[in-house]
Amino acid sequence: MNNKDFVSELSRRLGYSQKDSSALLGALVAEISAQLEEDRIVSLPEFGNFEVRKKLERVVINPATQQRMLVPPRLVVAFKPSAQLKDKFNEEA
Amino acid sequence: MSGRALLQDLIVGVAKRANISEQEAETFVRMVFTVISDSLADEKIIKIRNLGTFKLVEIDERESVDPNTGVLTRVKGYRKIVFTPDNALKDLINKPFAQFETVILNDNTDLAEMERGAESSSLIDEEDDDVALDIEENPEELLEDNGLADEAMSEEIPEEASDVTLSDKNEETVLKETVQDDSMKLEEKTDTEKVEEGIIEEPVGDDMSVAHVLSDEEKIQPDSDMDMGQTNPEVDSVSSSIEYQHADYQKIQEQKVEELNVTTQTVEHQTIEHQSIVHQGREESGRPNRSMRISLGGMIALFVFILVLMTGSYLVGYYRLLCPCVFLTKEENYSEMQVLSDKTDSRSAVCPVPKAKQHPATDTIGKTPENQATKQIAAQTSKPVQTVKQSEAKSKEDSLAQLRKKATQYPQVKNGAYLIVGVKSVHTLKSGESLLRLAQKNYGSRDFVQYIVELNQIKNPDLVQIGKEIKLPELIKK
Repeated sequence: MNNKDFVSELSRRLGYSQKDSSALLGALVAEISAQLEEDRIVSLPEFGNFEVRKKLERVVINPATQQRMLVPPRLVVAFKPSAQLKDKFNEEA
Repeated sequence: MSGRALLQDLIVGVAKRANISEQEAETFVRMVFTVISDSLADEKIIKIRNLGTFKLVEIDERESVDPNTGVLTRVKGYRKIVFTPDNALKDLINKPFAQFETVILNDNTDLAEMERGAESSSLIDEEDDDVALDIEENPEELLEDNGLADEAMSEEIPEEASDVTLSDKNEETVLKETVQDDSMKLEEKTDTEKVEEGIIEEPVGDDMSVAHVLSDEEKIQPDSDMDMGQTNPEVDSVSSSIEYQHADYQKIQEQKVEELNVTTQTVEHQTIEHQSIVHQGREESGRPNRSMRISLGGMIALFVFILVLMTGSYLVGYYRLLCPCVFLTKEENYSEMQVLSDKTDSRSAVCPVPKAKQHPATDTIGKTPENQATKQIAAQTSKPVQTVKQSEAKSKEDSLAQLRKKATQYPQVKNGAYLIVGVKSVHTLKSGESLLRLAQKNYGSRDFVQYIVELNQIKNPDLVQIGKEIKLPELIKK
C-alpha cells in the first residue's frame, strides 16, 4: 500500500476528499518531523513511539575488499511499536 | 531530550498547520494511526510520503537454547513491525551531522603518521612532557569536540602517550649508560696502568681531570637542551666534540691494551705519547692522529731494529766474528803448515832431536783424550813453534824424515795430502756419532774421514757399530 492508496483509504473512512486528506496527512507528517527534529519522543498511545536515536561513529570493514571505513555518527528515527500494536498482529496470526 | 510530544501536542500542531479545529484534527490523527494499524494486517506494507514505510515482517519460529539451563525451547513465529524512515525524514533528522561523510581508513599509513608526529614532537620537546602530551591529546580533543570519540582512536592514543614516555626514558637511560661506560673505561685504564710502574701515574691524573671535564660537559648538555631553539647549535657542537673525544679515548685505550703486552720500553714510549695525546685531545682534533702515526712508525722501526739485531747476532754466532782466538789459531796453523811444507821441500836430512821433541807432545795429547779439541790446538800451536825454533837449529828436517819413516808402519791413503804417522787418540763411538762428525770435530773437515777409515781398516764406512774404538790418526802433510 503506497501513499496514494493510504490517502484514499483515509478519505474513505473519514469522508474527506483525497485532497484534504493528503493535505492533512502532510500536515501531520510535518508536525511529527518537527517534533522529532526538536529531539522529542513522539508518543502515540496504542500505536508506538517515534524517537530520534544517536548512532556513534564506527569503523566498518568491507568484507570483500577488507577496506576499513569510518562511518560518521548520525541521528536516526526509530519507531518502537507499542505492546498493544504488537499483540494485535500476533493475535490475528 | 526536551521531553515527549504526546498525541495532544500533535493534534494542536496539526490544527495550527491545517487551519482546522482541534477536534477535527484529533479525529484525523487518530484515524491515521488506526488506518495504519488496520491496513498493516492486510497489506503488510504501508508507505507514507515524507514519513517512511511501515512493514509487517513475518518471523519464523525457531529453536533457542537457554544459555543458563541449556533447555531447548521453541520460539513461536511472530510478526514484527518495522519502520523505515523516508529519506526526506532521515536527512531532516540528521541535519546536525550532515557535514560528516564516511572516511576510508588506510590504517597502516594513518597510524604510522600519527606515531611519527608524536615522536617528532616528543623529540623537539624532550623533557617537556606536558607540552608533548598536550600535542598528543589535541587530536583526541578535536574528535571529542565533534563528538566523534571513536573506540579505536581512544584506545590508540593512550598507547602512543605511554610509548613516547618510554622512548624519553630510553633516551635518558642511554645517556646515562654512555656516561657510565666512559667512567668504566677510565677505571679499567687506571687499573691496567697501576700494574705498571709509577711513571705512568702522571698521565692517569691527566685522564681523570679530562674525564671530570667531560662529565661536566655532559651534565651541562641536558640543561642546555631545556633551553631549546637558541642554544641548539652550541649543544650540537659540544656533543660532537665530546663524542670525538670519546672516540680518541677508545683509540688510546685500544693502543694501550696492545702495547702493554709488549715491553716496558714500549710502555714508556707510549706513556709519553699518551701524555701528548691527552693534552692535545682537548685542544685540537688532528694532532692525536699524527702522534698515533708517529707511534706506529716507531713500532715499525723498533720491529725492524729487533729483526736486524737478531739476524746480526745469528750471523755473528755463525761466522764467529767476535771470537778472534779461533781465527788466530787457524791462521797460525795455516802459516806454520806452509812453513813446514817449505822446510820439507827444501831439505831432506834426518834429525833425531825433533823426533825426541815431537814424542812428548804426542804423548801429552794421548794422555788427555777428553780435552782433545783444545789440547790438540794447543799441541798444534806449540809443536810448530818448537819446530820453527828447531829449524833454525837445522834439526827439524830430521824429524820430518823420521816421521816419514814412521808413516810406513801405518796404512796410508793413496794420493792423500797427509801422511798417517801415528795414533793421536782412541775414541769410543757413541750413539749419534759418525765418522764424518769425528773427522769434522777433530780435524776441522769431513775430508779427513778417509784417513780415519784407512787407519782403522773400516770396510764399510757407512756401517759402524756403536762402542767400537776408533783410532784417530796423527797426520802430517806430505
